Amino acid sequence: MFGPADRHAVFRQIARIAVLVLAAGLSCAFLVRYAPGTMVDERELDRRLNEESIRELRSNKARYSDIGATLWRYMRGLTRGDLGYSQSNNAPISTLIADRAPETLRELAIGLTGGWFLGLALAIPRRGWGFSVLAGLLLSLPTALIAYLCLMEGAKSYLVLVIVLTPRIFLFAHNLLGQAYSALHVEMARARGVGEAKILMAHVFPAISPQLLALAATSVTMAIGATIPIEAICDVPGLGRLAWNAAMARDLPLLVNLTMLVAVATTVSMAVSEK
Amino acid sequence: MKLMLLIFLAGELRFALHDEPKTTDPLMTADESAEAIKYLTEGVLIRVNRLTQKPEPELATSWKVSKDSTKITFQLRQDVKSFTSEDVVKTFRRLLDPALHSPVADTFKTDKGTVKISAQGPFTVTAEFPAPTASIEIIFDQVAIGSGLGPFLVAERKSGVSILLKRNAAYWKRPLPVVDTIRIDIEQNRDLELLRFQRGELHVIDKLTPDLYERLAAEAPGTAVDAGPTLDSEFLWFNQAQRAPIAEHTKEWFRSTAFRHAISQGIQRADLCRVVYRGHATPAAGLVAPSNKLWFKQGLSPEAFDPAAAAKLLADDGFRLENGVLRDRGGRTVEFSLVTNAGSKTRVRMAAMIQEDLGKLGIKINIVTLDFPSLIERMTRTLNYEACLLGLVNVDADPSELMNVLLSSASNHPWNPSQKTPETAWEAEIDRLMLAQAATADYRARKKSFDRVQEIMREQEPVVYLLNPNSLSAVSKQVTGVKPTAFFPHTFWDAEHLTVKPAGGG
Amino acid sequence: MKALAVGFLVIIVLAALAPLPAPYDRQFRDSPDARPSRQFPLGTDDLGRDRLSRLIYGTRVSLLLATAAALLSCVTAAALGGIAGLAGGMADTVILGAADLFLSLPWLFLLLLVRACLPLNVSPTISVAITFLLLGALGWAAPARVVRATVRKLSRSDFMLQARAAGSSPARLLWKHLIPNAMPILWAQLWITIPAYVLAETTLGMLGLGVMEPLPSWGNLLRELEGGGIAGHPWLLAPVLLLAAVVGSFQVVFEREDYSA
Repeated sequence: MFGPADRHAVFRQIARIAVLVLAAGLSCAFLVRYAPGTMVDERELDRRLNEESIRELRSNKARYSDIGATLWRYMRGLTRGDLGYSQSNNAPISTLIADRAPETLRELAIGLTGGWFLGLALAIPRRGWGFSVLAGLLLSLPTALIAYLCLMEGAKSYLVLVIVLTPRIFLFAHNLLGQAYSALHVEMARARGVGEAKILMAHVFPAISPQLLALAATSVTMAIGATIPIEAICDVPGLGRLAWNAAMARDLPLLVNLTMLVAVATTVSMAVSEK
Repeated sequence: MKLMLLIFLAGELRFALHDEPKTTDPLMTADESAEAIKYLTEGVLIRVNRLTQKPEPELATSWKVSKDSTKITFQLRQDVKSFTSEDVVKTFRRLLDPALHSPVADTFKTDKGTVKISAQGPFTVTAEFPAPTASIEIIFDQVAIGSGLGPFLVAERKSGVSILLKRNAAYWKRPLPVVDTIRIDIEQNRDLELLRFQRGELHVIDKLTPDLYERLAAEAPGTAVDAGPTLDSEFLWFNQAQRAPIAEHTKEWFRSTAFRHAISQGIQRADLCRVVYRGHATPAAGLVAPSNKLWFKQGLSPEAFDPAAAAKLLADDGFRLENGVLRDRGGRTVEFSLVTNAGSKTRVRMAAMIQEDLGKLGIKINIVTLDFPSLIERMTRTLNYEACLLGLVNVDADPSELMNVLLSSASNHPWNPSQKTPETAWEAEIDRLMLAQAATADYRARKKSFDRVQEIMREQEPVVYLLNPNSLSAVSKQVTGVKPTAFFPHTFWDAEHLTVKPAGGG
Repeated sequence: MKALAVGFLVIIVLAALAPLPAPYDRQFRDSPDARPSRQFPLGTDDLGRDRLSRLIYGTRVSLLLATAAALLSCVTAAALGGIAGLAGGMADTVILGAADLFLSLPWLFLLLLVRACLPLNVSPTISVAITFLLLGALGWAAPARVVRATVRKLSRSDFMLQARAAGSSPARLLWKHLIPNAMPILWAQLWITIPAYVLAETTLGMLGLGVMEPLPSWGNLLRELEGGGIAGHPWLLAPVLLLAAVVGSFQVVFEREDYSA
């Protein structure tokens, strides 16, 4: 039953997530604001513009120079459900995120499911060094290269994510399983004639479940991190490409929003893994 | 018969843009993608034919320029539904609104005042300029009049994915356009764009890099097109601003004309064209590309590669070579950084070649690649850079386009921006000449002034011009009527006449 | 198998320290994109530079720096993850919170800021070393979480109970008992992180934060694979194969078969 203690724990987690998300947004705002190139507008190089127009562009950008005021405006807007306006995309940020999120979520869901399924499936039978070598080879291939190779063959972006995640999950699971299988109680169970499937479900998995959960949480953040180069290379119109373009354009409001989204995903998945 | 043929050939033209258009307002377009959409969907009074570079009537059937080039009167088409002089006046009223800060509007403004547009009847419009304006009719190519008067209309826009244009049924050049629709995908990855072109998913690629051009030419001969030299240029310059936070001795080197000439003579432009651009570029002779036949000063030729002469210039200027290292009068090693934008492989390669060339003169170059916003900040705000390698995209052959680059007071004046008064006599002379050519419409007088500007730029060489790249495009065999040019848009400038054969058809 | 891997690593180290067949930055401009030949065993790149020399020199740069960055990340992860797992309570909350924050932030901007603060004429080696070390300092969060979970589990083991009963201090518990038993996890992290940092350098190169010309690295050699063309130029895969072989060899050499506590 969901008692008072559980409710208290949930509220604490929610409060913790909220604090971390705000901290992430604040830190992002500072990092972007003081990064080189944030206060300039590419349009200043347009030779058609006269000095007055260039001054106008500069004063538009200068609105973001006071980071405190910028954040205050943003927070006020947030309470009204207004995520702000993206100058680089010339569109409200809420519209941009709503348009791009489904593509990224689909990619993440398929990529994570596929990566875990394959990673565990290869690790569980505890085969010899062959799979380790293959995993090592795949781990050595940069995500961007895998993305390019898949691109050349016309493969979808989520396949890249599966290929990126599988070796990582495999290697960890392989090591964890190696450790778990060598425990005395497992050897005892085997000696008593307990079947491999039962050993796996009743003795091995429970022993390594905390690490698997931690790995699950990490794999979510790994997958989120991998979506940026994958979407940028495969030209997927998702949040990853939006984030990459926002970083190139130093679109402060958009970057703050996307960072907070990533922070929500990261902290929630970590909190779930803690449970 | 003609109509039946057009119906048969009606299809969908597909190509890609590299970025989402930053604006949907045709009066505010500043990026290439937005310009492309504007070009295809909006009507203009006059259109400059990208092939011949001559102005042609569009919504204006004819025009008359006054003798002193301060007034132009347009006679408008009368067969366009709901289009009158009032639409033109309204457009310009909005365009010239100071609050709008349209980049297009700034070409209609000078320090002497702004253009006045007035209607003299339902189909007559007059534009009065405060001062004589050269090539007065050409600037109207940039102004989108009214709304929905172009060959296509925006039917669908999927953010970050694609834009679908459909044929404007009310287009006054009926039965054009030929194609039913144009699907424009947003494709940032140029390799993927080429792959899709090779698979037949795209029909044209407006701009190809030299590497991709060579790959396509090898794999699908006949589809890669080199339309010849553009007006664009690649160049490097030295930071000569007094207030630049760089070492004084470095500024001293950069202010020496002999030093700049030596650098110029030490760079192998032919190699840059051959190796980096795979032969699809020509060494630059100076400020103006030789392909700009109207304004290029005859007799100017690219600076010859002559390391011996360069070494002599340096020696005469007080530099000395010791054990392969060049030192200045104070015994300091001649070493400086060359910044360029990280996203451009061609520029990074050029920088590496320049580094090797100048290394032979004993000069040590440190290549610093920066992302574009960081680079702009250094160039325009902090001035914290030493030398910079960049390029210029010239959409207009007219010298007035270079006003905001050559005037010493301009914030885009590369080597020493925003000068309150010209710091050197030759910059003062360039200012005078540029203002003089802008104040008259007489081609001969303008040419004389601008020729002298080119000479001064060559004599002083504050900017070392390296090369003029060619216009490289890809055209599918399914499309007919494409005539690639060196001017934007390179392939679809005549979109209304293009036809697309069905895939697999003859 | 282990002997083969050790032998391979020794060869790599010796090759990386050996004099180069040709200067890595010399441009043979009459032979750009040349196919492999006696003069150029791996052909030349687009500026006519000997690819084999660049691969050997790039091995020095990438192997050293990526490994250093990965080690820094893993050591930091071991320390912080270990403390969080062992101490629990406020320390755990703070470290986990910091880890989550580190995983969410766009550190790219910090890298840009640091690069902007460096003098213009800083040597390419120093510039890239600073970038890698910064990456290493920022990359502790993901491994730390995994280490923490492992340490939490291990700290409930019998041997830990025994060690505590014997009066071991927390530092000793961490250093002598927990970290050694978490080594398989840490090694796994290292194999993943080394190529990740090699790749990070490639991506950063697109923003001007990677290895500056003319210095070669595995990262900028891998960029030659962009755009396909491998089918006609299989020698372009040399850095990929080398990277895979080196990482794989490390894995084989340092993988422990005995996992008992």
